[in-house]
Amino acid sequence: MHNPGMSSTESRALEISGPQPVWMTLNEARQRAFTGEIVFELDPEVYAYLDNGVVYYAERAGEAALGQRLLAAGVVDETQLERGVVRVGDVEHLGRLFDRDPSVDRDAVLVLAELLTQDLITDLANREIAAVRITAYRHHPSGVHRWFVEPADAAGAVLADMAQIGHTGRLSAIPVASDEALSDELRIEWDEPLGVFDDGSRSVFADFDVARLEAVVDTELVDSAELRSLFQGDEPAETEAGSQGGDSVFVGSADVDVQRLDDLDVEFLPDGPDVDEPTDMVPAGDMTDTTTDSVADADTEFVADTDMAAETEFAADTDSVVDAETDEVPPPDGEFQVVWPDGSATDVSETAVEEMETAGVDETLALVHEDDGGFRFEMPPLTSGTSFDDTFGDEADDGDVPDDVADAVRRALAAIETATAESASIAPMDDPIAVEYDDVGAGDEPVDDSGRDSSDHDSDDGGDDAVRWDRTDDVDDLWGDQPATDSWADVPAAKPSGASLSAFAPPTPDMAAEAIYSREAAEAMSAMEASGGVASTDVAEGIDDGHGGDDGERTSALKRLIGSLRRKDR
Amino acid sequence: MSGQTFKILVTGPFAAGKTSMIQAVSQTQVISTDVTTSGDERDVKSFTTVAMDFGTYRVEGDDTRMLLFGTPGQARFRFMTNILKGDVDVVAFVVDAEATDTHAVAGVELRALLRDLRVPAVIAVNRCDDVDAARRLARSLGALDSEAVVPCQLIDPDSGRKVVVEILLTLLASMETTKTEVA
Repeated sequence: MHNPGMSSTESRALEISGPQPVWMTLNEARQRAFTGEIVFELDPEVYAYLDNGVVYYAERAGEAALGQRLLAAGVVDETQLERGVVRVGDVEHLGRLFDRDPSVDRDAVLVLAELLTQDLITDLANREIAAVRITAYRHHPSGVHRWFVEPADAAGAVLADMAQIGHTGRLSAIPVASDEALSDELRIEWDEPLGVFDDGSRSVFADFDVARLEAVVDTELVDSAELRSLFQGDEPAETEAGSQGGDSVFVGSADVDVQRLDDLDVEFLPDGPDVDEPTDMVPAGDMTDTTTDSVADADTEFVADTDMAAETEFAADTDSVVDAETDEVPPPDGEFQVVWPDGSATDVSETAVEEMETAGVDETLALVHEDDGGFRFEMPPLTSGTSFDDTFGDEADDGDVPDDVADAVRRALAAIETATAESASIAPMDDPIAVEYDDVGAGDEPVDDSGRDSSDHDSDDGGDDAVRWDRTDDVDDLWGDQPATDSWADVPAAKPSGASLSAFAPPTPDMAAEAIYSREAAEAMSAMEASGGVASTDVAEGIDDGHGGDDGERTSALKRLIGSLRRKDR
Repeated sequence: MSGQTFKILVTGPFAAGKTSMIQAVSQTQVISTDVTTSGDERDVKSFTTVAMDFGTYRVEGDDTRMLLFGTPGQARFRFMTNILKGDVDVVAFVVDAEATDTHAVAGVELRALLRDLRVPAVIAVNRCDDVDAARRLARSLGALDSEAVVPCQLIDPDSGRKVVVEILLTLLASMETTKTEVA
C-alpha cells in the first residue's frame, strides 16, 4: 500500500512489489538518503522515521508515548517533563525539551531514544513485510527530530558552502585596499598603464577601453553633442589606455554638462603641473572651474571616485591614492573648499569656522556642581516666545491654530521650561513617594482618573510631589488597618527632584518582588536577632503576623472567608 | 481579635476576564481605572484597565477582609504585576481559552510570573468548562502540575465567586502545608 498522496520518484522507489525483509527497505532508504516516515505494515504496525537515510526514531503502534517512556526509564522526572513539553492542542511536543529545561540530561535522553530505536529495528530487520507506506518529510509528532538534527548546524553548513563558492583564484589576484584606506575619502587615479601594476599583474581593468564605456553609456547621452565634444574635443583626444606614456587620458571640452557627467559617475579633474606627479587634487578656488575651463585642457585625467573603489575593492598603489585631507597643495590664505556630493563647492575661510565654533559653545550643556557634591547639566533657558516671534515675525500669529492645540503647546512649553530650569540632578532616589487621598464619600461613583487634567493634581498643593488617589470610605477603612510597617507604605519610588509629578512614579528596582522579599527576610532576621535567636517556627509566624495575627487565627479567618463566599454562592 | 486581610492578585493577558472576576465578588464598588481602548485593542473591548482594579470583600460580622488587585492586561504594564506579586497572599492568573491569539503572550507572562513567585498560584481558564482541557492549556502555557487549574465562565458572577473560593482553598492548602513542614 502506498500513500495516495505520494507521487515522488523517491517514494515510489521505496515501494516493494512483494514480500522482502525489512532491512532491504531500510537499506534502500539509506542509499537514497530518504527523509520522512516509513510505516511497515506488520501487526502491530511499526513506524520508522528517517533523516538523510538514517533512522532516528522507531516505535510500534500502541506503544506508550516517548515522554512516558522517558519517565518510565527514569531519565527525566515529571517536573522536567512538564517543563520541557510544549502542548499545542492535543500534540505534546518534546522537541524543545532541552531548551526549556536545561537540567535534563540530554545524553541520557538521546541514548535511551537510540537504544529503543535500535532494539526495534534489530528485531525487525529480518522480518518479511509485504507492504510499506511512505511519507516523505513527515517526522515524528513528538518533535524528537529536533534533537538529532540541529537547525543551526544545517544553516551553518549552508553558509560554509556559500563562503567557498565565492572564493576564486582570479579574485585573489586583485589587490584590495586596506580597511583604513577605504574608510577615508579616496580619489583614485592611474598614472601607470591602466590595469597594470608595478609587479606586472593585471587588474580587471586591464582590458578596459573607451568602446566599452560607450557601450554602457546611455545611448542618448552618447549621441548628445556635449558628450561627443567631450570625447572628440578641440584637441586630439587619446582614446586608448596607455597610449600616452602610461596615462589613461580623456580630453573634454569647455561645454561639458555637469549633470551628465554626474550621471556617468566619473569626475574630471585638471591635471597638475606634471601629469606624472601623483598628487593632482584641484587647488582651492579652482574647483568650480573643474568641469568648465580646466576640462578643456588636453591632459585631464580620468579619476575614479570613491564609490567605485569601494565597490570593486580596487585600489591603485599608494602613490596614486590621494586623500583630500592630506592634499599636499596648501589652501591659499587659510581658505579651503567644501566639495558637496552634488559636485558644487563652497569656499570656506578658517575665520568663518571659528565663528561657527564660538556660536556653538553657547548652546552646549553647562556642567553645574552642586553643594551636596552632585552635579547636573544646565541648559540655557528656553526663550520660545522671543525667538519664535523673532524667527517668524507676523507669521507666528496664533490665529490659524486651534485654541486647544495652542493651549497644549503652551502647556508643553511651560512644562519643558520648568523642567529645564529645575533640571534633575543626579542624586540618590531614596525619597518615598507620598500618597494622599481625596475623600469622596461612600457610595460615590468609581473614580475614573483618566480624563482628569494633570494640572488638577497640583492645583491645591502648590505643586507638591504627592500623588493623589481618590478613594471611598470603605477603602479608607481597609487601608487604614494596614500595619505601619506594611511594605506598601515603605515602597520607595523615584522622585525626580524639582520635577512635579502628575502620574504614577516610575517603578524602581526597590519595588520589585525580589527586593520586597529580601527586605522581609532581613526584617525577620533582625527580629530573630533581637529576640536572642528564637526558633525558626517563631520567625515564620512572625512574618505572618505582618497580616495581623498568628497562624492559627489566620487559618481560621481564611476558613470563615471561604465559608462566607460559599454561602453567597447558594 | 485583630482583623485578618487576605490579598489576591488577579493577573493575565488582555481581555481575559480579570475585571469581571473581581467585580463578581467585590462588595464595594470596584475602583476601576478603565479607559477607552485605542488602536487594535478597540476591536476586542471598549474599556480596559490602565493602572489596576481594586475590589474588596468583608466577612459579615467579622473583621476578615479580602482585597483583590487586578493588573492591566497589556504587556506594557507587566511591570505592575512584578510589583504587586511581592505583597499578596495568592495569585490568580486568568486566561481566555478561546482567545488563542493571546496564548503566546499568556505563556510568556505566566512563566515570568511563576519563575520567582513565592505564593501559591491558580490558573483560571475562562470560557472553558472542561477540566482536562483547562489543565492542558495551563500546562502548555508553562504551569506545573502543582498549580491549581480552574475552568470557569467569568461572564457569570457565580462562576467568578467559585473561582475565588478555589483560590482561597489553594491558599488554605498552602498555609496548612507550610505549617506542617515547619512543624
